[in-house]
Amino acid sequence: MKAILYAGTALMVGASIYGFVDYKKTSHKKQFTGMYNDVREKATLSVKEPVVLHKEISVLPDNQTTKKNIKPGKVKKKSIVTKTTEKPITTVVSEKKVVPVKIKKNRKTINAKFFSRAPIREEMEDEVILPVTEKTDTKMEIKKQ
Amino acid sequence: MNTKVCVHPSFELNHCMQNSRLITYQKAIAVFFQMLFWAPVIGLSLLLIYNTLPYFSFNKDFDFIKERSFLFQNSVYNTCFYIHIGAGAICIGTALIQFSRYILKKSKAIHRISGKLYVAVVLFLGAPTGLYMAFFAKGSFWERCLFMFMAAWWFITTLKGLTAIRKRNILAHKVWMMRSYAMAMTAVTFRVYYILLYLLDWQLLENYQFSLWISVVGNMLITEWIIYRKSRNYLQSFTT
Repeated sequence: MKAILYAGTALMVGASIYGFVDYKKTSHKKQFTGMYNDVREKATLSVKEPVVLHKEISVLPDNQTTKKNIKPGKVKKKSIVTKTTEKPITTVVSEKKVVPVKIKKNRKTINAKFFSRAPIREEMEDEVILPVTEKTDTKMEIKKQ
Repeated sequence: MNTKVCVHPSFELNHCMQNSRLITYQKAIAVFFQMLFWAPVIGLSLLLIYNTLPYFSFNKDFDFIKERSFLFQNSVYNTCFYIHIGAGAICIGTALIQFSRYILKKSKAIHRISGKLYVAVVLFLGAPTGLYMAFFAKGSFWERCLFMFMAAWWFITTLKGLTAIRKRNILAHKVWMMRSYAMAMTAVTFRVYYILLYLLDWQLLENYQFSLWISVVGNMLITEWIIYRKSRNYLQSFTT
């Protein structure tokens, strides 16, 4: 019993001393200090925003001008409300052409191989191509006095 | 004046039957909760052993080894790593046998042989190599200290369990071996928390550190709670 105790204790003391000495030798090396840094880029959703082409065509008489009255309460986020007191004949034609978008999705799946102390690598799905959609919005406001 | 309470025999029989039914019901619930605990423990332990086996192809094409490729250039670290994972797999496999009352009743020899194997592997292989590798563990200074504490506590609890059974103190032997097994099981519980936090989009390093702490502290707390429930004098369990 004492032999087991002494042998085990000697191994533990030897391991701690040798480990400390080895650690002191390697701790100042760049390869060791940067060993556990996560160099991989984070896998995020990369969405290319579609290219939207706006064509605004305003048809107005030459003498008339448009007055833009922006009311803060009624203004939408990305639109400007135009009000004209005179005879406005505005036609806004906006054509949106949606370019096909490639989206890389990261789906987290559990694998039996993940049951380890190793860093878990995220698996990437294949690219998904959205169908092309073309939208045309036409707004015609004709006010007659 | 002696008074005898005359009870109809059928009443006594019904009362005994109800008591036995209640006891059977209570035992069934206890067995159910034990299975609820042991089924995932056994399953995950076997999965850990299964995932350890490919490392003994001595191929360096594993993420764990690639991450520490600088350390594996050192022959001592390389040797300690393979000894440690082999020792860990043996410990977890033998520990599953040790807690089986069925095997203990059927054959004490199996319990003694696997117990001696567990103790020898922990004291001479698992704990010393774990202590050496702790100096190079992933994480900050505190994670390395935690790994060193784990190695030391694993050694101490296993040794105390061995000395207790040598003195024929079975209760103390059970208590200390439960504490030793808790340290061995941190390998399993760490991986469970690691995967759960990965699914919750935690960063890799923070996930590793947090999973390590809660696996060690959580296992110790659960073990002490089980010991506290079963013992009459909890504090005495540390001195015997």
